[in-house]
Amino acid sequence: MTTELTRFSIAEARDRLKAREVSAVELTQAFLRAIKAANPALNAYIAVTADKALRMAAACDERLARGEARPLEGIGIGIKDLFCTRDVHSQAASRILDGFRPPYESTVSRNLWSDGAVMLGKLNMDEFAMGSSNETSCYGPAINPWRARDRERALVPGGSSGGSAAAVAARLCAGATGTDTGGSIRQPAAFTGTVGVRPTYGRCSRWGIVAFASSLDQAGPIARTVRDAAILLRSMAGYDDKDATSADRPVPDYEAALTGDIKGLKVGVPRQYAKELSGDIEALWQKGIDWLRMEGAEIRDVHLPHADYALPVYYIVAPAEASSNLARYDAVRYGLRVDGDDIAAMYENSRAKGFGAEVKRRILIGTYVLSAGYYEAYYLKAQKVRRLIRRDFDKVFDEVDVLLTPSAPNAAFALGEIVDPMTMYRNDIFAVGVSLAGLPGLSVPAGLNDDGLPLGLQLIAKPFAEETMFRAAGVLEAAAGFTARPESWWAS
Amino acid sequence: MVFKRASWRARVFARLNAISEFIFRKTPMDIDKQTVHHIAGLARIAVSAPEVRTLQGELSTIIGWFDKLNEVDTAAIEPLSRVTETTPRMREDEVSEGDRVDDILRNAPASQGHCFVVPKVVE
Repeated sequence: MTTELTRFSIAEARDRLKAREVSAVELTQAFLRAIKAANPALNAYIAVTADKALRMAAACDERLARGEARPLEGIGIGIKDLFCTRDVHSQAASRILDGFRPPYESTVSRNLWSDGAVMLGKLNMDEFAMGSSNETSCYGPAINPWRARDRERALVPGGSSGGSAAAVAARLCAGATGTDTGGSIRQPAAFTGTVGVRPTYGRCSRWGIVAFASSLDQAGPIARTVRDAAILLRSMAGYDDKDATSADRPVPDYEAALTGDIKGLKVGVPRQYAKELSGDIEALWQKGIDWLRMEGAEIRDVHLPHADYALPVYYIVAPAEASSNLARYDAVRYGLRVDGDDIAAMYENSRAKGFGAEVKRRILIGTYVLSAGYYEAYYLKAQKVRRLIRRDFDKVFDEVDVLLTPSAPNAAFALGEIVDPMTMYRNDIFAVGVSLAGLPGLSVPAGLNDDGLPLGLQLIAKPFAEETMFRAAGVLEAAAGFTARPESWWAS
Repeated sequence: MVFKRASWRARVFARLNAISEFIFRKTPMDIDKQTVHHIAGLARIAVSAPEVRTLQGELSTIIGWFDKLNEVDTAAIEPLSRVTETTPRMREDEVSEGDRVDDILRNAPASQGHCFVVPKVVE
């Protein structure tokens, strides 16, 4: 009975908590038990805050008893380790932040707690959010709760928000925060049969989130349903005077946007992406087009002339910004220190030991493209092409309301299957353009491939048109009728 | 006088940059060991000999791939560095939070009094 409690969606749990059918403490205990049983196999959590969770839940129950429930009262949430949480493990899954305990709380997580959410713990991720498989974490990879039919081989949950996606899919939390720089919410959501939302750049405050690439980083939710994602985003989003790039505009009620009516909605389909696809994903994409058409949407072919350049632009801009942002890890103010003969040797030794291979690779690429003689050839060039990519989307959005694409070029792959960095980068092919243009994108689970693994479809909308995106996603979700769940092999 | 000299130097540097850009475009990308050491030095990351060998290959491939962008004509295009067009709110120029020395120092690997401790910098 109690394990069943973890199966409630956020919307269901909210209603049952309000009706006092279940208490926040019971719900939290159910999640903590589920985490205890599953985490040795899934490695989704890298810190569990059981005592804090139970204290928060008890306070929620008091509010519920007084009839003063806030939007997320008593809902158990996992937080990606990239978010600084006051006095709690916050390490960006990197050795260089060993032992770091922030003396402050990130704005997004603070927003969740002030809406009544309960913090279950910190979730695994690729180191500094650099990766597409969660394999670069200094805590070892998170494991996808999904396995291919009749096979026991461990699969990656995607990345960088791999722990978030794995925890949500395995019902180790009701929902989770993620961050998306170049697909780090949408790709893991697609790999785990969950809903992942990257909102418009600026919709959520970046304050207190460990910086990777500041012009691209955005926080967003991973949840089990479109409605749950809408509920979470409403709480997470909002203006913050601590982040000058956060949007100074009211946060709509995204849940209210789920009307189920998309009659006359204009949906653009960039068919050029088809050349990147395996047959099963192309077939699912076509199904998605048909579902939207049957619900009254108008389908139009669109073309994004510079789409092929999004990946190289991304892999110049993001590492360039990362190399600047990660310069702060100097072994002086926080984190790991390795001594050296002088201060320069101390910096170099600390950073050599503290950063993993992928992070070093990106810092070096970033340093290279920003260095004298190459700045114009690479960095400035990339920023110019970035403008053309944004322009492509602007033009297309003069004619359509949303775009429909696959979320990723493939389903979840096996641990250790992709070792070449360039092959790994290709996993972001449908994601990075949206990031570079600062647009909102959402991945919704839409079907299973021949191996029984989940596949996702991506909806993209105009800046700050999340409501339209949620509305279309709700229709897609209902039409797909995705009810498959991973078998709980990890609990045995 | 000083101003003149600066603009003369700027012109020379611009010319040198243009020449290096031209040479670079004509040469297939190959990052040598020296460059890896130079970049790692700028990034303040110690690299071992085997790491340098691996990085040489990886960086050459990745940076060579960036040349694909030369297919795009960007002569008349302004670089895009921010995607938001919002004008930040103004506020009074006053301290909103402060006096948190203990909070700031508590994560330091080494501290003394109100200071971070580092190896000797000045002889």
